[in-house]
Amino acid sequence: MRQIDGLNVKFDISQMIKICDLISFDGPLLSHYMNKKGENYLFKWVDTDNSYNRWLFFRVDLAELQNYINKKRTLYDLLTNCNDGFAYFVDIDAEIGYHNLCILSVENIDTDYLPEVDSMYEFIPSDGLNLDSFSQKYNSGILEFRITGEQVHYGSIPLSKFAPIIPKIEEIRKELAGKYIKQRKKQFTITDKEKKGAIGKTLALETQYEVIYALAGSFRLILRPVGQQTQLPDTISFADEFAEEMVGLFNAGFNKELLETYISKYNKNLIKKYNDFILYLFDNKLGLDIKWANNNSKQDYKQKIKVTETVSILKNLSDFQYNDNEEIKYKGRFFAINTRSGSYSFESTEGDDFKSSGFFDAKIKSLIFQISFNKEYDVIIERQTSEKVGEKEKIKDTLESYIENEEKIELDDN
Amino acid sequence: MNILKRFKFQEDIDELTNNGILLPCLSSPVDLDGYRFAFESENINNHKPVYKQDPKRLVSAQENNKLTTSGYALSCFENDSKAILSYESICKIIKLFPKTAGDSLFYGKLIAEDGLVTDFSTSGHYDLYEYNDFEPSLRFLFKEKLR
Repeated sequence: MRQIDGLNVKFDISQMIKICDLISFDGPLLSHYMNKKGENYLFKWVDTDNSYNRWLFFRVDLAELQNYINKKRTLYDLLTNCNDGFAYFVDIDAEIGYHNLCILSVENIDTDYLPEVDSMYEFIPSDGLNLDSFSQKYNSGILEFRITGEQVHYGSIPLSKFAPIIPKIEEIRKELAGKYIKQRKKQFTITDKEKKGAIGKTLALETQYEVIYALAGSFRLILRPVGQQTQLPDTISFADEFAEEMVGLFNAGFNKELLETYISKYNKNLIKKYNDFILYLFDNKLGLDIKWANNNSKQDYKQKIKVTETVSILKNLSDFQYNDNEEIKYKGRFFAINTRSGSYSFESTEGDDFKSSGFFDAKIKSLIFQISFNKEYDVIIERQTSEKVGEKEKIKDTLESYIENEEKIELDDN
Repeated sequence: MNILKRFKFQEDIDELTNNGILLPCLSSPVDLDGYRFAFESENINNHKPVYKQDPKRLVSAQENNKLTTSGYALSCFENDSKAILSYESICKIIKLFPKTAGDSLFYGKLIAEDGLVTDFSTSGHYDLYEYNDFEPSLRFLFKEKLR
């Protein structure tokens, strides 16, 4: 390898977080990294011998990096005009040990280590983000949403496309969290109110997220749980469990049986919100990767939804019909009856807006001529609710029984 | 897949798959053209998968913990023009790329006994997961010097 007459410096490369491999062939050749302060660096492989691989790296503005990826600038231009005016070199051995770390003015870089003058970007970035690094840094599980698709560039997305995504994700999280917390609380047999309250609080915090980074590599949101549950190594936390449910939901769309499991475990609202979100991705030609990594518990969950896959998820969801039967008891009066067809209209006199229209049950249909419009009745109605995902709810009411209330009621003028 | 056959780096691949890393979709090659880069002269890293080369081309130990099965496979291209195009594009950015990938193009026709292959990428690249008894230096023969 060439002799480098640079100035020896200290630089903690081990703390750098890889965002993306911009060029790789049998391993990385040009990679985007970020340091603790959020500064961006490009690592470019330049040379090798029997003991080391040599890398050149330099600080770069994200906007400049985007210009390079969008073919507006060459890598040669980026490097030779970099803000710092110098680049770092490091020789890395087989055990990932760092040697001969130095800085060198860009004018003194060996031409073999520089790109060609017309070094335009002609590659496809590959996902190289190491969530474990974030997890290690924050000593916490990390959740990543990576948005891909039309008009999503390296680290940028139109605000009009991005803005609706956040509330949709949050709605899904809220629905999941509410039920998850209830179910999880039930599993504890603690009677002590204080301890029970503490568990509830921990669960609430472990199922809420805060954004810690918006990153390049398509467009990524990096989140971590608000709560920081003390975690022993290799034990699964509430946050891990909840993230598994969250990632699992995005996987469930591909499989009707899994979808059924989620529906029976959670509720129709969750599936509605999920449908809304997938529909949004479909309408806007977007894809989504969701990942969770926790370095403490060694838990790792991920699911990818490609732009082209949203349509099959929507189809699975549209095949799903939510059915519910409930018995409703009310006090009120009839305001319309058709003795031939057996249909009725009924309204509550209990001070609420309850109304029901439907048919009398066949068993009592012959008795309905006895019903008076100026009397009050206690009724039992069987309500069948059915709803296809993405369509309006359908309600079918059947009046099962009515008992006359002794008091006569005053009819409104209307 | 021939269940009696084992991959050449089966233990390394098993270690990854036991940790949840998935193998890609693989199929048997039938007289499949394979073009790959290697060194014309004797070289310790010739026809070795990237993770078996010494030293490995990685920047951080975290990357070392996130290996994929692809690193235990041989990179090939479906035709020579796509292989050369890819080579030249990389050389524009990384002038000494031939020092790590090889200075020449080699060619071989792959058959089912050699191993299993992935689908082609848009650049014509695919991976060959070699079977235990496959000898790449006998299959891939020198075609032309690239640099």
